[in-house]
Amino acid sequence: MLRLSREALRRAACQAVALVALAACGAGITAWLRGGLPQKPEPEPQEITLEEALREKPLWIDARPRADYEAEHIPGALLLNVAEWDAALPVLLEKWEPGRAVVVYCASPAQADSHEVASRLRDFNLGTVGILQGGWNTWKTR
Amino acid sequence: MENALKPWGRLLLRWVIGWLFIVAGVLKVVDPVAFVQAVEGYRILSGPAASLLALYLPWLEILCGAGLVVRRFYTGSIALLAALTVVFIVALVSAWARGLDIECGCFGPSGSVGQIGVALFRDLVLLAALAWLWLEEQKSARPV
Repeated sequence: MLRLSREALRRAACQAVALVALAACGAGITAWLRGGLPQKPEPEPQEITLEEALREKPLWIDARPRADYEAEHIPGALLLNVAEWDAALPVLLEKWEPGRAVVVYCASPAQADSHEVASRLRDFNLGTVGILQGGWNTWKTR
Repeated sequence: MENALKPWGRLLLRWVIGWLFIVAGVLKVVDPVAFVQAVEGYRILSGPAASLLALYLPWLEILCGAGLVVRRFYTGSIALLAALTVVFIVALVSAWARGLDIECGCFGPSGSVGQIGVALFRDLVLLAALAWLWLEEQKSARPV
């Protein structure tokens, strides 16, 4: 059996420390060139079914026009549509808790309002942002 | 005859393993975001820890790989690469045991989903080869 000399181990350890330090320099340069740490991109908002959404107990976002929202909406839903984005967004950011899923709905996903709102929300790192399949009609006819 | 071939075998192994790690590291350095995703896929690290690892690990692979190729910081490179390979094996076994169907992330975004078994086999072979290089180095360094 080959015995490892203390000197060989010491030399290997010194070299390993030097390599570890050099790698840290390389990582620092990469971070500097990139302007920070690489971040995992937020996932694209995906359509989810009503059953899936209810399991998450999400923060509901109503992307329909104000008149439709005031007439009727999912209990607890916040109004956040493209037209009133700047005014309504602070309310959402205040109500949202880390780890809580966000599900957006509009009159019908074919109108693309919910997709637009969900897409904009990605920039705020809210975690999972879903779009209710079938929109408001799915809730109404559940 | 065996002794005559040994230095060539050692040289070949050094170059193959060295370049393997250099290529693996460079592919990750040029696309760190993809590597962050691969790291998080293992569900062991997330957030800033995964980002830091994704930034750091490729450089360690490149430097140790280069150490093997140019034979500088040689034993340190072998030791670090062996330690890294052990960590990779543990991560792969852990992912496999939890039934995760993920990219190994070993060579950047390869799209090779479901290749944990192949990666595990490759890492075991690499570990054996690194152990052999280490032992050969110790033998040759011994006073006759």
